[in-house]
Amino acid sequence: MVRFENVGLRYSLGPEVLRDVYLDLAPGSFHFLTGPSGAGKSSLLSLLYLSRRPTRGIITMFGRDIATIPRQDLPALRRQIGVVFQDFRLLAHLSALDNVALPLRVAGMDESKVQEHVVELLTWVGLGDHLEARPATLSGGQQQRVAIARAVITRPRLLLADEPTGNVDDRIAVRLMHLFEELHRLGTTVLIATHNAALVERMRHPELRLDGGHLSRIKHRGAA
Amino acid sequence: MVVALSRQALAEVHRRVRDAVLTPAGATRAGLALGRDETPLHLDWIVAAMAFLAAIAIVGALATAEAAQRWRHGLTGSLTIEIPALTGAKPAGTGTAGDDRVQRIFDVLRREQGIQHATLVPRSRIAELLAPWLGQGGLVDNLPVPQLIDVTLSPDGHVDIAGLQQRLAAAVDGTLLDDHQLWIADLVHLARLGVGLALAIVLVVGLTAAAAVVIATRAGLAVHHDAIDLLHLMGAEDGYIADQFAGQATRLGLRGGLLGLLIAALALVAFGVASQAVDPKLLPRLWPTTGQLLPLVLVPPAAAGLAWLTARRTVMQALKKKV
Repeated sequence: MVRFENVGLRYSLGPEVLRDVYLDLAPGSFHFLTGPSGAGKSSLLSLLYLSRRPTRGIITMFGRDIATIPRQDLPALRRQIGVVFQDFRLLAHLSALDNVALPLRVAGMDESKVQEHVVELLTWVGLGDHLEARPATLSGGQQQRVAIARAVITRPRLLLADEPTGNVDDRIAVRLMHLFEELHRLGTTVLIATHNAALVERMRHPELRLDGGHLSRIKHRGAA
Repeated sequence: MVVALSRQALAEVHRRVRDAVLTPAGATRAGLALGRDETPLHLDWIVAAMAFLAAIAIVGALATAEAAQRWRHGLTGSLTIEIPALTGAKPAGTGTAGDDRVQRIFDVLRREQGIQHATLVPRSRIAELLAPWLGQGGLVDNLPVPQLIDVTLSPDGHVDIAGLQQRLAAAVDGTLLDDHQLWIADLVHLARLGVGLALAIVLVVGLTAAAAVVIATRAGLAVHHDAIDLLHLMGAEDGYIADQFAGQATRLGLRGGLLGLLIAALALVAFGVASQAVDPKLLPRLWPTTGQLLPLVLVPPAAAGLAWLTARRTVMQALKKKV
């Protein structure tokens, strides 16, 4: 699904924020990405959601070397990736419903189906009463759920989440993790960047740890 | 199969027009709040000013072309013969058809093919024509003024102008034949210059409007940079984003075009009212005829089309440079 070989990334002329990264995410796998602040988690995720290209090394996604993918082929590839951003990146002028509907509209889905899918998912994440609410009127936790709903609405093949449970209480966090588990069971490859050690311990999925730009793999007891 | 495809294409065009142009709220749902950002450039007002100038230039070009046509129609198909005044003759005694020299000229004209009729310009008419320079005091009667004959040519007739000139000069020494060609050529040349100038103004105005759209679109791209990045990450194609900018530019272009046309119409009405006292023969008619309305009616859609094309192209080129 995803393979990094000797990948390095630097911003402008600065030092490398990612060094000699080797990564292999098998189809249908579930991983956590951990590491201290500034370790390069967001940079690694930005490479995964094709926001930037590596300074060196080879990245293969969905069987294609991203260095050789023509620009016009990128949208189709990106539609297979769902992303939950740490700062949510919801569009302030759109309602919760329209924010979640956006990936479907981008993909050209029929409007009647868009409404049906979005209402169902937002109700499932507990925001059925806030369909028309603008992000500014929602709490941090509610915004996070809208962001997650937006990331999973297209049932992506690869789901990337940056601290997806950082702003919600335990009950909602467990519910959201069940949503990720459900997607995982349906075949989605999941990578969650988190600081929540308890969550990583409880979920028992393989952990990838970034430290100083280096990536290492930590296997938990009973992990898949 | 073809019918189904055509219907599908038509439905797609309808959806795009509806979402991008007719329903700004629908366009906003597509991701970018383009109608709400506070860019310093009021594109609709700039387009309105350009549309006003274009409309006035078009009216000017049409009026000039029409006036030139009128003049040309009035002057072609006619000749003027000028018989010089007799030196030392008593002016009051000249200027009648009975004058021997005039008779000799009429004899030549009668033998000529292609001439419908010829009329001696009455002395009173010559006095009228000279009145602006010589006044009304009867001074003309005491001056040796040449005599004029208006000649109307047959519509399908052909006259050998050079030969006729020779025959007239042989009949009465010093007689001149004016076929107005020099005057017509000058007029047509002038009118063509006027029309060319008006079209150049329309072109410059169009380029200026396009430049304003480019600047406004680039400002919009900078303002909505984050949202555009987000749409790209969701898998939006460049065209999806460009269509939103093009839709917004089209709305502003159409609004500006209509506003500019309205202001131009008001200006022309005001000009018409203010110039009522002026002799209509002196000024070209600036209020368009029904047939001339089409180019004017096309100003708003042309402004909208230009805005759509320019905005879309600007966005597509800018996005091509992104990852």
